[in-house]
Amino acid sequence: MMWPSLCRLRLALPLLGLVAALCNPVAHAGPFEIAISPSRFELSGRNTQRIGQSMDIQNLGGTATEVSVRTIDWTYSPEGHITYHDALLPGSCRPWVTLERKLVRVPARGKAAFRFQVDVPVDAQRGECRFMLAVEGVEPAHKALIESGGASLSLPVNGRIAVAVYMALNGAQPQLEMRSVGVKDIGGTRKPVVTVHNSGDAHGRLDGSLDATDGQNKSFELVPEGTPILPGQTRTLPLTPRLAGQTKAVDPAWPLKAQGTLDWDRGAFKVNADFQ
Amino acid sequence: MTGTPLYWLRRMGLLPLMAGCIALPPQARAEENFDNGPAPMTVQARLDFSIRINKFIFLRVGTGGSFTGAESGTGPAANGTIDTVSFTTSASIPAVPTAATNGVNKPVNWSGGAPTFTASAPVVLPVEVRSNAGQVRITGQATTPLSSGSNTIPMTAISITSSSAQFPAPVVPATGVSPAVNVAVGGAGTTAAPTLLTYRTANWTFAYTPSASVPAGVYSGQITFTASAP
Repeated sequence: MMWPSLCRLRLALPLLGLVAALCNPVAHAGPFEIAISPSRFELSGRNTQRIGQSMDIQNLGGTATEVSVRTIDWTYSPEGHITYHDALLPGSCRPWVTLERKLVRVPARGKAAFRFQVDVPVDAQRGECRFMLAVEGVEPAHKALIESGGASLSLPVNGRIAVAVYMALNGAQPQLEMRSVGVKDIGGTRKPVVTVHNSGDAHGRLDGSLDATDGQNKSFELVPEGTPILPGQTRTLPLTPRLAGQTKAVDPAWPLKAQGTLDWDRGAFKVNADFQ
Repeated sequence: MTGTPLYWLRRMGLLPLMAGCIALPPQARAEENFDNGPAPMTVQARLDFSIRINKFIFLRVGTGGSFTGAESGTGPAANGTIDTVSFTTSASIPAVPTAATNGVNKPVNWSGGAPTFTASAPVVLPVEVRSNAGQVRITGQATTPLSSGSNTIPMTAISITSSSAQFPAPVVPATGVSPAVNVAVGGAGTTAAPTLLTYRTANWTFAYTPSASVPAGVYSGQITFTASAP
């Protein structure tokens, strides 16, 4: 009767493995250690065009992990507050987007390419299509709560990276105008700022730097915040003092003088200003 | 074997492919120069380089295995722990006060006053952001509220403080997405472009202040922290 027992054992072992796998839903859970490249897409397209793109999802962790990918809408206020929306916002272009798959398994210390495509409909108007790709860890171990024993309050945390996708449709472009320069209290700190309006139909950004000196004749650079100025927005962006080759924050003595050029996508602003 | 090479390429279906290859631009073109003299002879050839560096963003939430150092050189140890913030509240019965003991038939002195609750020690969660895409913003959202059956503890009962002013923790509201906090650009090793590069680590400390009016039960929820560089 040796052989039948062995046969039963050989049949039982895979079943036991299957049961163990089913009873261990946290097998692939772990810390969120994900890098995404590129961290944003700035594309252009026209009616009926199909635009395909790919991003790399890299797992820096020592164990394989699974992430989910989905589209979300987002809004960005003139004050720089970002909000994510699972539900479709009016005018959302997310229905145009096709994702390669919903779940991506990324090997330990490895990466996986993820493809998506945007099919611009025939009746799309000139403007900018914006959405985000949310890459997040698959639900972390809820079972850990039960196993932790004695815990009366448990709060798993999860990580997510939101990759912005901008698509300028049918020739949409930013049109930035500098409204003013000045000084503003931001987060309790006095900072030089520029106020910029975008009258175009696609987002724009400031770039470049100004050569500045402070009240003690110390030289440094003033670098504008490079966050987006969405169509129709007027944003007041801080200029951050920077000393080349140093990572520590520069604490200039007021007043400041600055001159130079701040660039944007299709032009530049010459600045020669005193910040009192 | 008869027929021209063109004939055989057509027969084998390779002609369209060959045509495609010919139509493609060459991947690289070398510059060739020569000098026939007289001496001294010098020749120069130029080689153009093009390097594309994509923007990236990296977020770590938890005690990961990717990181063994911090700006100070001593960061969280690498391991594969699954991170769940857990608190254990314990009741204390007045008037002594006397801590209640788990189990049945465990007599303690009790004045009849309402018990008070104390939470266990705060929970520390290491986090990290690296990017070359400029300003990185972090938001927090209670994707699952703290609930036990039909009872709910507002997420505002959980406070999160950061060990680093350069990497603050968002204040997670009871519902919806928190206001974004900025991760300060710069950090160790970012001297080359401190306004674009970010390398910040921090320990976020979760604390819970229990309330006596909360019904007993095991409360569980989930917070999702989102990083983006829009």
